[in-house]
Amino acid sequence: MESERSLEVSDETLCQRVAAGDEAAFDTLLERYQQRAYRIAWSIVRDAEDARDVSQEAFVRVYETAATFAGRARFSTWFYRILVNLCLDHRRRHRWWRSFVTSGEAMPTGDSLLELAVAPARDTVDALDRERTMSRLWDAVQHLSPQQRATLALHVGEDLRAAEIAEILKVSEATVRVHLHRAVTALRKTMRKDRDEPPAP
Amino acid sequence: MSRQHPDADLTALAAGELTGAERESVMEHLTRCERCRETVAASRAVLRDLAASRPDPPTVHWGRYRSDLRRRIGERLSTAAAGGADGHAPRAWWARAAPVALSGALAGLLVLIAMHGLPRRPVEEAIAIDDALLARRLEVIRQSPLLEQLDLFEDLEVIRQLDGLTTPSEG
Repeated sequence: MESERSLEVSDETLCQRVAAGDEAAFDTLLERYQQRAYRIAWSIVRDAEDARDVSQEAFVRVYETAATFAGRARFSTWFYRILVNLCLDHRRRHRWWRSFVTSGEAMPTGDSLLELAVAPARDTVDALDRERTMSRLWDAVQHLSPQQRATLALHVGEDLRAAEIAEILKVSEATVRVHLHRAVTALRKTMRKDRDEPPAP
Repeated sequence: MSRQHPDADLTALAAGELTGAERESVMEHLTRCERCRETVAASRAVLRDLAASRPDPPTVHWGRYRSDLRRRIGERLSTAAAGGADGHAPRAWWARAAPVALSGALAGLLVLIAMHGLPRRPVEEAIAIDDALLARRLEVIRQSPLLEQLDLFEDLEVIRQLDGLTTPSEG
């Protein structure tokens, strides 16, 4: 079947075919990466419309510049680099605090992650409380720096190793570890505050 | 990062990033340090909870997504072709700002003209320069010895101009 044959063709080969004007190759790449691209974009920009816009722009860049992909790196690394850079540029251009205004959140200051921690309910931890804690955890992720957020999105969301994340972000692997360490440390503070806060009288 | 407690490496260990000698070194430290063991456990818990509770993005109609994308590509190619560009590179951010910048520059130029007036016309300036040069040349001739003046008198235009100039008074 045609779809099975297309699975055998590597992303790198498809990209080279795109450079040669093969529209079907572009459609195949699109089908393979559209969900991942949208998911990564959304995890960084946290707005559905912006995530669609940014992820589509990444594919447009692939279409326009496929000839510059020399095949030295993996296609996924090259593509994610385009996508993440677009996401980070988008965050820089658009006031990120707008997301707090629309969601009702206050603009974080200073030890914002500690301020965000919610006091546990009077009852012992139950499924609802656990779910709320998880939700607060990902809310806290939005207060991390763009690089930390991108690192988490790629590591946790896409299960990428630090080495590949480093290639995508064009930083050293040591820098990726620092991003990951600072992100996890900040989130640990949130969870500790959430757990240790005395119950309401 | 403290050498005593390899904090960033602890997170890397919790994330499954360490291998080989690096991992062995951190594991050896953990055998002696309860603080760091607790840190690794807490970091693992955070990463586990993040993975387990990762929110799903809003649903997308993929058919519409792909048709929108195709329309964007078509528009981009049309814009590139209309602009005479190579059709490959998207417009840079500064190109999008160029019309606004040019309008601002034009407005500034109009303000300057209003304040200082229009510059003199080039033809009038050229005539003024020619007169000055000629007058200077004739002054040089007048100060030259007689024999040199006779040679210079072969320049008929100089002779004609001599009649129009007043004789400077001797000091």
